[in-house]
Amino acid sequence: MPVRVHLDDLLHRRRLSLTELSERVGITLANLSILKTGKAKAIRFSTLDAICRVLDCQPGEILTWVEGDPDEEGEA
Amino acid sequence: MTGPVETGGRDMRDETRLVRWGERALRGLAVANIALGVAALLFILGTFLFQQPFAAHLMRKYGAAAPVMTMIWEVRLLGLLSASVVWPIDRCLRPLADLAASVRLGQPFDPANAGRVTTIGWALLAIQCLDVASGVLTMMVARTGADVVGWQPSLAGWISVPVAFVLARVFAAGARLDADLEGTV
Repeated sequence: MPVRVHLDDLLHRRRLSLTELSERVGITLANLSILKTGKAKAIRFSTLDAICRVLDCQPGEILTWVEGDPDEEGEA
Repeated sequence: MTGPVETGGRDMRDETRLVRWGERALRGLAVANIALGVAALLFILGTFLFQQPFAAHLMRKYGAAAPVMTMIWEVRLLGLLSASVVWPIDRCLRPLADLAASVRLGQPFDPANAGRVTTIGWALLAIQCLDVASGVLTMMVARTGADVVGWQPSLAGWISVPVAFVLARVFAAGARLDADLEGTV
């Protein structure tokens, strides 16, 4: 997927674990894992809103677009 | 995808139990349907093996002038129609039981369900066509003067055919939406 997810970097900068983020945004750890590893096919605005609120960031800091194969999987 | 036990409390468990019983009932009916088909074939065989006593019985009942052999052949054809309706009924009951199983497992929009409902639609159409054939045959039997159970076309049966095909489209659309939702966070 040419859309890259930078959740790992953001969590590292905020000194937060995925489990802590999961508890604070009210999204299951399994779903956040799917997002973090770039396996998600879509993201709800409500999810993006909750993550941005907790991590105090903009959607563009979580997601970026890069030139690439749309079928390619993986995170940044 | 969430299972039935995860998503609800007692009501959901009751519904799951109800669906499980429905599924079992459908599988039981499928077996009974095949047994009826075998019975119909045995009946046809019996009309050949015991043709003489059968003809004698019809002659006693309807008189010597009655077209006994015509009656016997028409009864055999009715038996054959009864046996042949077993297959489309089976193609209704088994896919319906599989559909119930997918609902019980919390996957009503399993992509296979659209195909199952389409199969049911074609089977219902076949049942209706065989019903019309049995109606024609019943009228032919009645014309010979034999006692027959009356026949009427089933309006509800004919309506169920397009309903099944429309439901198949609904299931197909549901499966597509479900696939879209999978992987959405």
